Amino acid sequence: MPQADQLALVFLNGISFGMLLFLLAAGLVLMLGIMNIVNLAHGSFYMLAGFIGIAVAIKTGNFLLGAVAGMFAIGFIGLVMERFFLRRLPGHIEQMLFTLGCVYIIYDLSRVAWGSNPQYLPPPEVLTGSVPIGDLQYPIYRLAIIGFGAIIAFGLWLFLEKTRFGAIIRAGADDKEMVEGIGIDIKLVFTMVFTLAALLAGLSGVLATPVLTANLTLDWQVLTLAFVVIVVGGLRTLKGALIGSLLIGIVDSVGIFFFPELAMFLMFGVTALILAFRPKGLIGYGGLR
Amino acid sequence: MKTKLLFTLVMVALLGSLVSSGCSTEAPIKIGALLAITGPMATDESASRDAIKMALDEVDYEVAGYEIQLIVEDWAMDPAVCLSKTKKLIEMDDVDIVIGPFSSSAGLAIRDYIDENERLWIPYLCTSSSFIEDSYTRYFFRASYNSGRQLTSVGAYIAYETKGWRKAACIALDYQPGHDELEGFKEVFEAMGGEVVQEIYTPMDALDYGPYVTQIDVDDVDFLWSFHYSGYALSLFTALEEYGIKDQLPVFVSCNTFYPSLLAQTGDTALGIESVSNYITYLDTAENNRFVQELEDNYQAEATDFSEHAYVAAKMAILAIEGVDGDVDDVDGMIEALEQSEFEAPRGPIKFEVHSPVQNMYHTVVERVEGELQTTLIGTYTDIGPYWLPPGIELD
Repeated sequence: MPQADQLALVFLNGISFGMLLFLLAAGLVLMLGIMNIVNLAHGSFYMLAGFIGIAVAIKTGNFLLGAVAGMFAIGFIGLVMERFFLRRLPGHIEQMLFTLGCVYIIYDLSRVAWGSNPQYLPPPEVLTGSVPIGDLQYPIYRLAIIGFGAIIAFGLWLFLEKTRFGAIIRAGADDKEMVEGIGIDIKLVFTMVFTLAALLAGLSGVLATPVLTANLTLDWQVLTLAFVVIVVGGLRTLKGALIGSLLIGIVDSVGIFFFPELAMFLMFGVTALILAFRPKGLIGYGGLR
Repeated sequence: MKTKLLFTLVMVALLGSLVSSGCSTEAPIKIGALLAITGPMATDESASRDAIKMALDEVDYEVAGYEIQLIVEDWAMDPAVCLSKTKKLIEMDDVDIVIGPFSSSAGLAIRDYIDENERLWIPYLCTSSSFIEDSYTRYFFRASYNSGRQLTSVGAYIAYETKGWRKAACIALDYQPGHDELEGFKEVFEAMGGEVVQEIYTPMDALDYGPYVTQIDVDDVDFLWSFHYSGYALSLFTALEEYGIKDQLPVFVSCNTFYPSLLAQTGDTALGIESVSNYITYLDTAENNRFVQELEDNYQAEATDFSEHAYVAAKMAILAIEGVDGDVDDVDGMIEALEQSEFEAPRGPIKFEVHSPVQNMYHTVVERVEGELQTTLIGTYTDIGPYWLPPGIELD
């Protein structure tokens, strides 16, 4: 029987990994939930942000600058993609084909720019090291990710539920024509939301590098996980994305600890089970909540 | 109908020109190379291609009076593509020698085809032991080492005798070579009297290594044994550093893991890690210094285990051709020449036993020297064959 501190570690691992997934999935939910856009390049956003963040952080010696650079570079790419391309592509098939093309372009450009070697960025000085939990050690940086993820989740909730702009976004998700009818430029709103989602992907990409490293296989790997998360949580809800990410993170971590041979099966098994009983996900709802 | 007839005529003309050019008297000797130029191994494999070119440049593309022609094919990390590219090399280009691929799974995919077509085959890694056991073909001659029985046996010897470790936690990549290496280590280490307390496998697509390294029972074992390389090694070292495990346990890597560009990425997470390997970029011999320098200066490529093994494979091809005075139709003669060959490679002297190298093994530690991380040599084990066992140890 594992010790209590070891169990705590397993759960903390799950939660910190889940929080990274949440930052990623939140962007995906904003795109799907509000704009009904399927973005297959979301994982590539994440990967590219990691590479850019590392390059800038190493050049300047400042982690924060790297994070900001990675985030805004991806935000800008998102802005361009939405404003000049996705806006003109009405159907899911067109969107998927376009964003799939972007996946390959980003992959190849990254390979040309940074080669196929993996890259690593150490966490900022203040967050290096570990704190004792019982007899064991837990990395401070992972605790920071948990805290940071919680702040972002709370901030997004405040923004969507308590601000006028949030109300417009939610209204737009439910009834686009009506929002346009009362004189709001819904196209501008959509561009801003897509950019916000890209910013979130960029942020999670840089924040994850000290834990997951940056390499060329990440794009599809994280995209798959992010889709699993939002399917489990409920396609169109941020609350669902949060619950889904934490659940997937914890199931993954617990699975690896107790049944290492079944870890992968366990994660998708739980997903299948949830979908069997709640086909719309844990917090299934048509609009954005 | 007319276009169809025209098309047929053009095809016949084309075929005819192919056949006639194939029959010319001054036919060059053709070497085909199977490399994964596109895909995740692109950087390593471009360096492999450059290393093969370097070996051929050194002889001016001429061996025993015959011109050498190199044909490179990209198998893009897909064993099925590798097979069709092999067929292309043999059926269309009629190559005399096939170099590559590096991967055991791709190697197994083309093994039968090579065997049927009787071409000398020099895969430069293909470390799986099945190539010299169940899937043996006499056309096979590798430039690497034998998985689970060569690096690992020496590693077990170093751990037990030199370091005095008795209890091991083992962590390896969850695919066939990872299992071969771990089981091979366990068998020898336990035959010597040690004990493998934990066996942990990390899936190839594992993102977060945290859940794997937290399983390591640091109080109960003397050291952590690992089989991880490139990006996987980086993920592992990162997690070991994060959870403070490296401060509590010595880490021993049984793999050609460390080369300059990887150490540039791992940073201090690799500091102090010991390893056993059959090639190190930092080996200070005249031949290796020349190899590293020329590869960098003339081809802008890095000397890693990939490029060194590819270079050795090309050298082996040249030796085989010299052995039969350019009469490459004499495949048996080429095989015999290689069986009896002994030569100096960047990694040190090489000869062959069951078509697999007998060579030096290097025990190293990652250190910071003049501000740069490098692997420093601790000990050299000479004349290590594919089935080497520590003295006095026998396996059933």
